[in-house]
Amino acid sequence: MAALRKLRWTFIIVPLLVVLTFLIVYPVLTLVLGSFRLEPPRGFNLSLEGLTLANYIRVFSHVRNYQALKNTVIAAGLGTLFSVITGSWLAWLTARTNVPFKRLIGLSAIMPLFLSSMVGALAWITLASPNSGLINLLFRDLGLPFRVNIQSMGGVIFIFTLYYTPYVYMFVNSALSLMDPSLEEAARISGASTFRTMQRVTLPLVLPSILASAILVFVFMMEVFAVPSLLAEPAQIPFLASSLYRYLGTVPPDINQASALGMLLLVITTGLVSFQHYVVSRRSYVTVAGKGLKQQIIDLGPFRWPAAFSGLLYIVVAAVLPFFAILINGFRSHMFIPHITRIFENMGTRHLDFVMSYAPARTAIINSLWMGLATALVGGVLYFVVAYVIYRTNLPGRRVLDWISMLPVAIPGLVLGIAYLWAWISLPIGLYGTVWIMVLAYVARLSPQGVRASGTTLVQIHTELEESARICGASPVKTMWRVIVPLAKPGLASSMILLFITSVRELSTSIFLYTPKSVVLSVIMYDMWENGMFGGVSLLALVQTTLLLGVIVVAQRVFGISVRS
Amino acid sequence: MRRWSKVVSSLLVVALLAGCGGSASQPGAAGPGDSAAGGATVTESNEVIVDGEVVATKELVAAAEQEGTVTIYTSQAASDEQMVMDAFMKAFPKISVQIVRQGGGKLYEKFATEFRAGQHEADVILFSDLALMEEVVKMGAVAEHIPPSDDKYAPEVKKQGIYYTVTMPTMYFIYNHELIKPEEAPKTWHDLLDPKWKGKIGMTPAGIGGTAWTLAYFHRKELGKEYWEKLAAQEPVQYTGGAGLAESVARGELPIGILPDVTDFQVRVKQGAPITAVFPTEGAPVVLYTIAVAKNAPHPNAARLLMNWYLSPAGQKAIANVRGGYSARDDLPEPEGKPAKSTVKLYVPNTEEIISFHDEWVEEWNQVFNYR
Repeated sequence: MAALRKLRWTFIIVPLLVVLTFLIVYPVLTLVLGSFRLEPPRGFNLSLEGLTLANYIRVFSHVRNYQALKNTVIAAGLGTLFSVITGSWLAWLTARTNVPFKRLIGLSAIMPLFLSSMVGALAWITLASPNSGLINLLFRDLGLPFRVNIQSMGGVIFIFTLYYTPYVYMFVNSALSLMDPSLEEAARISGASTFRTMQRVTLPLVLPSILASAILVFVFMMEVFAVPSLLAEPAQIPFLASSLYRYLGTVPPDINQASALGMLLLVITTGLVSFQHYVVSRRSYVTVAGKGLKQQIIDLGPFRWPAAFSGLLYIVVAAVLPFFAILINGFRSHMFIPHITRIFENMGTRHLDFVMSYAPARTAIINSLWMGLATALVGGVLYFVVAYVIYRTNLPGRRVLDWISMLPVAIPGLVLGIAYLWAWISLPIGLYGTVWIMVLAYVARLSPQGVRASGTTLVQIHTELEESARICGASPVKTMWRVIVPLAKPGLASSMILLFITSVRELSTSIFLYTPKSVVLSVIMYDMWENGMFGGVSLLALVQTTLLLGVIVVAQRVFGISVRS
Repeated sequence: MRRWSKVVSSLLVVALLAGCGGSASQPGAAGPGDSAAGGATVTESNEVIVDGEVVATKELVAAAEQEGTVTIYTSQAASDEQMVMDAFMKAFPKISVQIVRQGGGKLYEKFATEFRAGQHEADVILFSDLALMEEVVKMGAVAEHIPPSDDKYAPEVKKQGIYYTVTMPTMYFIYNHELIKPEEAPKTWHDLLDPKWKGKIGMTPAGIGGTAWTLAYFHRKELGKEYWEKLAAQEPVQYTGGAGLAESVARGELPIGILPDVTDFQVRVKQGAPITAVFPTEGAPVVLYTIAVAKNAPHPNAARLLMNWYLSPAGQKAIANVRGGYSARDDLPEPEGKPAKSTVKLYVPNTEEIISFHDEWVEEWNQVFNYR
């Protein structure tokens, strides 16, 4: 047995470690090195000479950075809290109750994923900028004194909540659907009320999913730059990631300071991951135990309608309003609206005409699609295997694996993009400038989501299922294929779809690594954005969303599963 | 089994689509807003003429066509650059152009990293910030080349044989004429200091890039440091880019915006937003966008041809039609929607000062405007 174990160790852990080190650790190391130097470590210029603390001193002595840290933590904290509440509520509604319009609510809960945060910010600026936002125009022309202002701390928290709820939703929904209903049944048979059951049985069992998604979402909010750049910076409210973006935007870019600031975020994440580990390992959260999986549907009675209303309210705010704003932006020649009743004047197809005749846009759409596919497949399989090793084995070294897989989340995409540029440009394996380097970068970048998503699913599958298969004589591989994978399929499929969507939206890593042949949709949109062509951006956003929706629908038909599980 | 065949067929469809995907730029693909760039004609002395001016020798063109492709690294918006390059490809259909676009500092980072690592991808480089072009020259990453139109460019707008100004965005201000009546509108930099405009002016911070910095330099150098202080007292709203500011003014979010003229061209001229442009009488500073051939360019002949064309009347007309900025040449008509160059006071800043004063003055600007 010991010999077999040793063999497994070599055959599984070592290649995984090597792959993840190459994908993640090596670029991060160049980043760490860069933060201690005054000159970027371009090429293989990895010498240890001239190490200095100057970058850190500057970062820590800048008062603005402390304000930025404070603002970021507050906004991320409140944003996470509201996302968890909203996401869990919607997940519970769709997974466990008889609320009407269930499918619609489920679809809209993940709708915000289809919009990159840049487009979401554009949509909401159109809707709620203090003087010319559509909502404010409506108030003004109705004679009402209310105004909303998206360019504020409240605005940032609002957008955070809207755009990160889907992650919480997906994790919790998947957990609730996979849970063994007999546990709750037992509680109810013993006389507990619906509420009590929820509190004492359901909630604790779904807690690891909530926690995992909360931590993930918190870290995302800490590191996203588009939202605070567009909403908070103009109001002179500093945030960490947008400050980082400013360092990179100066001429010449202050990369070394940016990487020092990035290291700060890295330390915070590591702390959070360790914390999550500690909490999750305290108890057993096994719930999928191989019995029939028919879930109890709770009858809400008269509360169905207020509940449905809350779901529909979310749809309006998260999907309908932003899409309306994008449509208006995309089909009006210019955006000056003297009175709200004249909102549909000045419509035209100039943006559409431009986009249709812009050859790079066509290339970009095709590139984005198939790179998304490649990322979903390569990443999906890789993460599943990694998650299996971390959560389902006790091989030595799996903690390290876990930690490595979480690393990318701490580092803002832009900084990571530069790290990849530095790290991979001199490697003689001819990756630079090809599409594959971008796929690899996406796979590396999305490993936190991917591994966590697969992990959450795996944690809930009881070991006795595997053990019974093994007892019947199945090899480990066969067990994996015949027992684990089918059970994990909903979670696996969700995670692959999530990977696909995220990689199509991904921008910050793509910016540094693309070449004309490998240009992607998000880069085209960002370029138009910087050029003030908001009409064109809106139109491409519509194209992007339609494509993503199309893929989801096809995936649902083909795989017979839905993202709501 | 049926399910798997569905998967396979879906994948096949996607693969087919990918296979049919076109490459980045089709030679001869005309986009909207196509300029009046004509085709090339050859004279008896073996010179190639486009739009009435010599652009290259026959040998250069033949060598360039042999290379067949050229890559330009540019800080101008890719969609804009694409339209300009479409005009080039119409004149030289056998050469296809690949555009790599990145904002200022990031473009520099990409180019410098590649150069140092020996990965030469760029043929032609176009920077919106003169300081970055100077850095690149210092690095030894620029090749020497004198275009045929060299004598049409004054010494202030070029470094002879090294880089040349390809377009000259001008810093001025605009206002929304649905919100402000033309009689009441500001007409000079000093007019902006009127208390009635407090909180109603948008601008970009000096440290953001070449255009904003050039304006800050001009204000302080020509109007004195008090101008900064008085403008700061107007509590202007800081935008991270001119384009976003132009859009804001067009929408009516802010009535006045101080920005480079190329950022409002699309929205003011092409889309018909209610915007009026003002060239202040004290002077409007210009920014030099410069172009050069990269050293060790993979396609050196095509690179030189492209640069020659860009600086010729054909190229200058193409870019004026897309971005609306003045040409650095004095012998060409003004862009659409602009007053004749001779009727406005354009200010060309001193190159050495623009570069050497940058860090110190930007720091002071940040303090005066309380912008950290």
